[in-house]
This record gives sequence, C-alpha cells and structure tokens, in this order.
Amino acid sequence: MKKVFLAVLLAICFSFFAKAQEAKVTGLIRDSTDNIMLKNASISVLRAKDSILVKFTRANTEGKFNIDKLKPGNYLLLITYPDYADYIEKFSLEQSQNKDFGNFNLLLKSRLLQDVIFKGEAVAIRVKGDTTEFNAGSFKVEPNAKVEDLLKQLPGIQVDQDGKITAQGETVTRVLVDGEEFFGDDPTLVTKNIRSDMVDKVQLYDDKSENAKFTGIDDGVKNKTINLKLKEDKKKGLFGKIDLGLGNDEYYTSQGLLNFFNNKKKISFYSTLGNTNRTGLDFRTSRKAGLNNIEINDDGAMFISPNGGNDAFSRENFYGEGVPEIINTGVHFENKWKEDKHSINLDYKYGRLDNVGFKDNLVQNNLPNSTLLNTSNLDFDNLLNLHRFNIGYEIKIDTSSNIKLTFDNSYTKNSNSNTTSILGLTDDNLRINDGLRVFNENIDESKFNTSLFYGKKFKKEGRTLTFRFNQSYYNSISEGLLNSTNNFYDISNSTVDSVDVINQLKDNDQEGESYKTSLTFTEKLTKTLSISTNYDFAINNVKSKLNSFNEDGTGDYNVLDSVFSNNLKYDVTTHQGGLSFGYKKDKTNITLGSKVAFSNLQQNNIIINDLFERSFVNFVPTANFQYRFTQQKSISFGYNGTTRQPSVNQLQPVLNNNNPLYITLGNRDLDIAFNHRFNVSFNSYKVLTSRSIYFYSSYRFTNNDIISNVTTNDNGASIATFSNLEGKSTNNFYFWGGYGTKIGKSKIYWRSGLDVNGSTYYNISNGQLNTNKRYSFNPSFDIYGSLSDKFTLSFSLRPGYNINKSSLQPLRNANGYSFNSNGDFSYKLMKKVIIKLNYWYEFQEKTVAFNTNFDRFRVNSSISKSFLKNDNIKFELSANDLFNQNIGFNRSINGNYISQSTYNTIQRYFLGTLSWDFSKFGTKK
Amino acid sequence: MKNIFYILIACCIMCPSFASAQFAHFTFNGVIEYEKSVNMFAILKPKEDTKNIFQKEYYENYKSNKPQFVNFRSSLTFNTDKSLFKPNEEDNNKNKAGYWGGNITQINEVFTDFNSSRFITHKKVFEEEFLVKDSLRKIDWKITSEVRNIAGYNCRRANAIIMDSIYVVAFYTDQIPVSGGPESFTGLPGMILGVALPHQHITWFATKVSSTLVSDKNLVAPSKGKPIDLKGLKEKILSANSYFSKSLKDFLL
Repeated sequence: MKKVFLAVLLAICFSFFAKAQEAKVTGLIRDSTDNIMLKNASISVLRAKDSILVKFTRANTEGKFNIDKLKPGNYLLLITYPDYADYIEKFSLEQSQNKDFGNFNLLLKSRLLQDVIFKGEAVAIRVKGDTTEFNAGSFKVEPNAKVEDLLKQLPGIQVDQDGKITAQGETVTRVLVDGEEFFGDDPTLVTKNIRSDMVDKVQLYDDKSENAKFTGIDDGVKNKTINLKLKEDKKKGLFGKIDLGLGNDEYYTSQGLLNFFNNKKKISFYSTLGNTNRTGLDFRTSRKAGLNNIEINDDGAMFISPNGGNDAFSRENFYGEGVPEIINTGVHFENKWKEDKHSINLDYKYGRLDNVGFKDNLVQNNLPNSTLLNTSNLDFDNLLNLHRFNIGYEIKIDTSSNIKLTFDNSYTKNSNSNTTSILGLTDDNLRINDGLRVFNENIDESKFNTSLFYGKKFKKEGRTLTFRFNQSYYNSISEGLLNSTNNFYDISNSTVDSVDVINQLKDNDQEGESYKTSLTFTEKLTKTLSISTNYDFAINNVKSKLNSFNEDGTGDYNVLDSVFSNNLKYDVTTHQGGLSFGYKKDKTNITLGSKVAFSNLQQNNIIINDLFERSFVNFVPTANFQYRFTQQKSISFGYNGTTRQPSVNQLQPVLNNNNPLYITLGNRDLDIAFNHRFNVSFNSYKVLTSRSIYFYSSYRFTNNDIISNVTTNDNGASIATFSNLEGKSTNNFYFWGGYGTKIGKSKIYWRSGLDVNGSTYYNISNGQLNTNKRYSFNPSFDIYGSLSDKFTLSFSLRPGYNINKSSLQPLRNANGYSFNSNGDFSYKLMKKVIIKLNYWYEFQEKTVAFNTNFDRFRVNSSISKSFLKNDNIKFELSANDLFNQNIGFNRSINGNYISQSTYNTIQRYFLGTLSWDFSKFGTKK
Repeated sequence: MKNIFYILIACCIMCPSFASAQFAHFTFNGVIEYEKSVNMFAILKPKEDTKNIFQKEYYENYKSNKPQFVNFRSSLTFNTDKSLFKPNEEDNNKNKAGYWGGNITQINEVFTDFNSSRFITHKKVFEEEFLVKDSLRKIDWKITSEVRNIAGYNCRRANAIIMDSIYVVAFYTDQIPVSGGPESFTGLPGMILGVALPHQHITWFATKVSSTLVSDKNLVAPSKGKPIDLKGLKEKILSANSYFSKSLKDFLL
C-alpha cells in the first residue's frame, strides 16, 4: 500500500516537473576597477553535486548573458575571462524562476611569489646529468599506497592537499609514467591509480618548455618534471611439458621440456623420442623453449627462424620413407644484460635417426626407338647421428648500429647399408639385364661456420652501411664397400651375354673452405629516389679425393682402379658488384638494378696433372613495379634475369660407378644458361567482409639451358652427362588465383581457386632430342570456419587433369584425371572433451604408362579429455590411419623417365597419450 | 629572416598577457594544428597472464628497436559555425602498428556543424570508406579547476566518460569561443586544444593556433563514402571478423 502511494506521488511529481516552466539566469560581467564590460566572457552552469557541465554561453558586447531552459536544482556558476581570476558561485533554481545575478565584477589575476623553504636530508639520491633519481624501494610506504604518498616521502618534494606537487621549490608541471604524461584519474569517473609499490624509480628533471620544443630555441624556461619509472616484470620460475604415448605394435612417442628462467636468463632442456614420425618438438613447444628466433622488420612484419639452424631431422634427412626411430634432444641457454644491449644464445643439439625399410621402384625409360622397364627393389638400413653446437652473440652499440657474431659447429656420423636387386625388361617383356648391388658406407662429416655482421644507420635518413663476413669449413670422410654383379642378356636367345662384377672399396675424402665478404651501402638521393650498391668478394676452395680399390685376391683392397679414382682441387674466386635504384612515391614503388659477377673456376686433376680453367661472367638484372591502391589492394609486375652457371658436378670429367647401370660423367665444355622470369600478381582483401581476390602468374624461359644427356645401350646400362640446349629454350608457365569470402553473417568462409601449370623442357636420349610437354589444371574449392562454438571444420576438394607428352614416345603418354580431398573436423562433445577427425583422399587415374588407378584414403581420429582448472593434464586416445589404407607410393616423371615407387611407411596404429603442462612462477623483488 | 619570424611567434605565444591586459584577444576563426601521440610501448605491452608468446617477443623487440611514441599531425579549420578536422595522410602512411598495435592511424575527416549539432565524417575502416552522418555525441563533461597552457592558450581541464568506458581528459580554452575540438570531441564552453585518453595511451595536443579568416570554401563537408549512421556502423563492424570486436571502439571514436 505504501509503495503504491509512493508511486502515485512520484508520478504526480514527474508530470508536474515536465510541465513546469524551465528556469533562467541572467547577469552582466565587467572589470571590477575600470568598469569595462567583458565581452565574450565564458559563463558555464555546472551541476553542483558533480560539476558536470549543463549549459554554457558567452557574454555579449554589453557584457550581458542569458541562459535559459534550466531545470530546477542546485548549480554552480563558473565565469572565466582570460587573465582574470575565475568567479564561482553556488546557486539554486526553482521552477520558472528568473534569476538575475546583477553585476559580476571580475578581478585581474595577480601573482604572488611564494618563498618556499624545504629541508633536504642526504638520502640515497643519484644525480644523472640534469636528472635527480630516487630509488623508490628505499622509502617506506604502506602497501597499496598511492604515488602521492610515495612522493611525500621523497626529500625536496611536497604534495599539498589538492595534489599539487612542489619539487625543490618549484611547481612540478608534468608527471610522467614511463615517459608518458600521467593525467590522474577522476575518482568519480574511473579509478585505476598507480600504487607506489609498482614504482621502481622516481626521476626529477627540468624539461624544456613546450615553446622551446616547438621553436627549437631554448627560452630558458624549464618545467620541473617527475617521471615515475615502473618496475619491469621480473620473474623467475620454471615451466615444462611432458607427454608420453603408447600404442599397439610397439609404437610409442614421448616429449619432454623443462625450462628454468630468472628474469632474462633462461635455460631449457628438451627431448623427443619415438617411432611415429615425430621428428622434433612441436612448434609451440619449441617456441616456448626459446628455440626460435623472431625478427621484426620496419613494417611490423614478423619472421620466425630456428635459432642456430634446423633440428637434426629436417626434411633433408627424412622424406617419410620407412618407419624410423628418432631421438632429438638438446639444451638451450639465453641471456640479456646491460639493458638488453648484449644478448647471447647457446645451443647444443643431439639427434639420432635409425631407419630400416624398403623401396621398390618401377622406371620406364623412353628411348627413341624402344622403351625399357627397370625394376629395382631396395632394402635400406640407415643410421644417422648428429651433434651440433652454436653460439650467437649480439651487441647493440647504440640505437643506430649493431654487431652480430655467430659460430656453428656440427659433427655427423652416418652409416648406410643398401641392398638393391634390379631387373631390366624391354617393352616386349624380354629380360635385358638383372643384378644385385650391395653398398655399405660410413660417412663422417664435420662443419664449422662463423659469421660477422655489422650494420649502421646514419643520421641522414636512408643512409645505411652493412658489412658481412662468412667463413665456412667442412670435411667429409667416407669409406664404402661396393659389391655389385650385373648380368646382361642377349635378347635373341635369352642367355647371359656378359657379366659385370665390381668389388671395390671406395675411399672418399672431401675438404672445403670458403670465405665471403660483402659491403652494402644505401643512400636516399631525394625524398623519393634511393640507391643501393654492393660489392662482394668470395673464395671457395674444395679438395676432393676419391680412390677406388679392387681386391688383391687375399681379401685386402689395395689395387687402385685409376679409371674410377680421382684427386681434384677446385678454386673458385668471385667478384660481384651491384647497383640498384629505388623509387617510392605515394602508392608507387619501383626498383631497377643489376648485379654483375665475375667468377673464375680452376680445376686441377692432380693424378693426371690436368689443369682446367673456366671463367664466367654472370648478370642478374631485376625490375619490379608495385602499385598499392589501398593498404589491402595492390598489383605488382616483376622481371628477373639470372645467369645459370654449370655446377661443379656437371663440369667435372670424372666417372662415378656407384650405380654401374647409371654411370655419371661431367662435361667440361658446358656453357652458362640464361634464365628470364616475368611475373604479375594482384591481391585485394576486404577486411569487413573477409572477401579476397588474388592471382599470381609467371612465365619463365631459359636460353642455352643445361639439359641431361643419357646414352643407354641395348643392355640397359646408361651413361649420363650434360649438354647445352641449342636453338630452343625451356619454358614454364604458372597461374594461381582465387576468390573467397564469408558466408553471410556466419563464421563460415569459402574459397574457390584455379591452378594451371604448363611447361616444355628437353633432354637428350641416345643422341636424340626429346621434347617433354607437361600441363596440369587444378580447380579447387574449400570451406572452413566454425558452425558453432563447439563445431569447427575445414573441407577441400581438388579435382584435376594432367597431360604429359614425350616426343620420343608419343603413344606412351601419361594423361589422366586426378582428385584430392581432405577434411578436418573438431567437435566439443562435452565440457573438456574434444573429438577430432581428419581425412585425406587421393586418386590418380590410370594412364598408358601406369596401368592401374591409384587411390589412398587415410583417416586419423582422436578423442581427448583435459583435466584440472587450466586444462593442464590431457589424456588422448588416437588412431592413425584408422582403416589401414596408407601405402607409401609416389609417381613422377623426369625427362624421358617415368617412375613409380612404393615404400614401407607408418600405417594403422592406436595410441594413448598422457600429457602434462606444468609451471611455477614467482615474482622477484 | 625566418628566425626573426619564429622569435616573433614565440614571443606572441609566450606572452599572451601583453596582448590582453584587459581586453582579451579572442579567436573566432582560424586553423589549429594538432599532434596525436600514441604510446606504443604501453599499447603493445602484453597482459601479464597472456599465453601469447609471440606478442611478448614482439613487444620486447619493438621496445628495443622503435621509439616509444608515434606521432600523427592533423589540422582543424574552424569558424563559429563549422569546423573541419583533417588528418595528415603522410603520417598515416609512415606509421603502421602491426597486428597487436590495432588501429592507431587517423581514419577520420570530421566536418562539424555547430548550429545543427550534427557531424559528417569520412571514415576509413580498412579498405571500406564510410560517410557517417549523425548528431553530435552528447558528452557529460565534468569541469575541474586544473589549468594548463597549450600553444599559448590557457586551458581548463574537463573529464568525461564516453562510449560507456573510455575515460577522456580534455583541455579547452575560453579564448576561442567555439565549442569544437579534434576528431569528434566537442561540447565544451571553448575550443578543445588538448585531449587525452589516458587508459588508451593516446593524446592530442595543439601545437599551433593561427587566427586567419576562414570562408565556407575552406569548410567543405566530405562527400565520399557509403552513407551510414553510428548505429549502422557499429553493427557493420560487429558483424565482421570476431577479432575486430576488440578494436571496435577505435573505429567508432
């Protein structure tokens, strides 16, 4: 009942107020002494309770003002006029009231110089130039005390009731926090004060006046400024991760990381061990351990690279063939000191890869008048051990120059044992050769690299100087035993016509050292035009000794086979000079330039004392044009020319019989090839709608290209060398483009694109030129995103058609359809339980060359549950290749060779994995 | 010659009292040059509990290689009826904050009509250009007694909260009887010569005020862009990638 009454009363009041006529204030403003009307004086009406501005106006020419439409209430009247003291008066208004204040007499401000006496005590105060620095820690304040409380404690600083700060007798005009002005929060609006225990140091100094900063003329006016330097987050602690997975068929995987840190010092120990193809720490974990190096360029783009080179098992050592057992372990240490001006990184890595497996190859060799089919079955047993140690040290001399020093040392021990059985058939299925080759080899390799970098930015914008020096040394010693028997058949009667037996010990000793220095200078000529010039000088010396020994009949290998032995020494000296111009204005960016390199190659075959010398002149012209319509839309055109110099292996006239059916021999008469490449790209992205349109297209052709030249005899044995292609050029065309956008207001995106590839290249087979043409068309369609908070997916379809033509065997082409699809689905079943499914499907249609369709469907699936508050413990059950459909398989075409290989690889296994993330942090005072 | 000119300007700015013993000099029209200053160290500093290791690396790297403050110039041309705020495009092109920096460039060209209390803003949100037309933001300014001199003008401090949570500190001068200011900050009894968003680590301060005649020719409202009002713009930005909801307020200022 009471409530109803109140409500009625309120309603009456409201209607009453709404109807009530609004109040009005008037007045006149003048100078108190001269009786002059103060035109344009500012009159503001503020709400009394919180000083919120309600209305304002200016006095007219007669000094009169009039503010109407005011609601009844309590107000403050604020009258200001430049150089006059502020006038403030409290007043209240009733409904419809016309309040006339009459005359306001304003007073000119007068300044009173106040003598300030302060008593200074000798406390730990440091004077740095013009700056006095107090150590905040040496003054005692209550916990949660405000900055003002701390300042009050400091000698020579006084804080009055209004918060006005006086330091050494002068008013402090600015308070900075970490260099940024501190405005102080209005407690009635926001509260986010700085507590005094967050402050590390209080600096007091004289700042130039704003005018002096603006005009550059020191007017002698100093502003007392206090800068509060906040404490850096100094922490120490440890964190780490352990996971362990066990499966059927002796599959297992494990990973461990332990990381201790104390402020900027950090040490990590890590290890992975397993046989499920995991070759090292996963990306996030390795990042946590500090194993990656992050660099940020001037545009804010970030580059991530592994500290001190790759892990032991990057792709160069493992291609997914076989079921290897892998150990990868290491220690990482880093530290920074002297305000991060010095930093050091130390790494030691050890890795071991033990891989046993097989690989079966089927190769079709298209000869001018016939086709040969070679089958080989390889059994391998490879063991690799790697130790690697590196140091990186960086000094920032000042803000414009720095020095980086690196040192890298690695030692590898490899033992490989390969057994290959081969069979060669004609296209009529007649046997032309068969054989067995066993090659056991031990390789010891050591490497040692150092580098020095110095970079300097000059005061003049755009002027920079960089100097680099690189040294590298390597030594590889190998000893191998080659045992091979090859039978060659007479096709007419299928009888063995000749037998080739090799039983040789091969000693190979290679040593190389190289030095390279380079100096680059850049200069801005005008606001839009810049120039860059460089000079490089490099020396590369290689000694290579290969001795092939036959057995002497008593089991000792000491009879030198001079045909397959050599002792070579190469010396390559290169001088390179470059000049390029850059033009940058508004949305246009153009660069034009070229490099010229003179290189001299000297090869000395020491055994037969055959000195051979070649000189090459290489040109590398470049031209690039870019136009940026907007930040997210640009088009660019480019041209690159490169000289391709024959490699040492392509030049050296040395026989290698490691595979007696495929003997390689260099060609010292090879000339350089020249490669032209044109490209155009376009990119447009709309952030708000996530719409993107992009394409990239390139055309490349090579004149005088170096092509392979293979002569295969009737028995299927080949000798491979290299020749320059005359009168024709190899070429390649590539297009890649697409369109993608978001579907409506959902969180699902789609993308559709097209890949087109076309190339023409050549090789010589038994003296005849073979033209290979290859085309592929691959449209694609992708859809990805999240349907809800629980369900995320990505799904893609890639149909395609491939054309492969070889002029020597026009009937044996390899045209056919292909189809690829993959998907990735994740669903949050319930709280902390996630179920995942990935699949990959591949299909290749049969061709004349390959007489069966190929398809492969792999499915991985997992279910995981996490525990504890931060999901720190996770248990996962996973299935790899759920339907056991994975086969190691590869098809490729190279020159007139079409090959297909099958190898053993990891198939279905089930794994239960338990992982634990742990951390312990403490704040260091 | 140039130096003498500067000294004269400096004298004028330093000693406004000479010119205004009793009859103060008021500026009714002219051009104000502002400088926006962004404390990148504070913006990029990752939260203590962040799990993003890259942000931490980025911050450390930025701190040791880049300056703490990034500056953007702009100008405000005004008379008693209208004003036009224009950012300096050159500075926008020069300074990009990168992923964690969010949007720090000046994306607005703001035309304000004081008589009708409406504004027309040409706003660049990434590649999209909008023409936002709406009534002036109503700001409950809290007037304080704190004063400071900016570009030779004595200014009084006022505080406010805008867009529900952004704390604004503004300094206005009664010597310019125009209720304008940089960007969309208006509504005080005089021209705003300084604005700080202390928790966003951004400030705008006038560096120079020139009193010149301003005709309507100098005050042309922008006309390019997709017409939209504030409500529509907010919806548009919210419906975009979820990442942008965080920096939404940067675009609505």
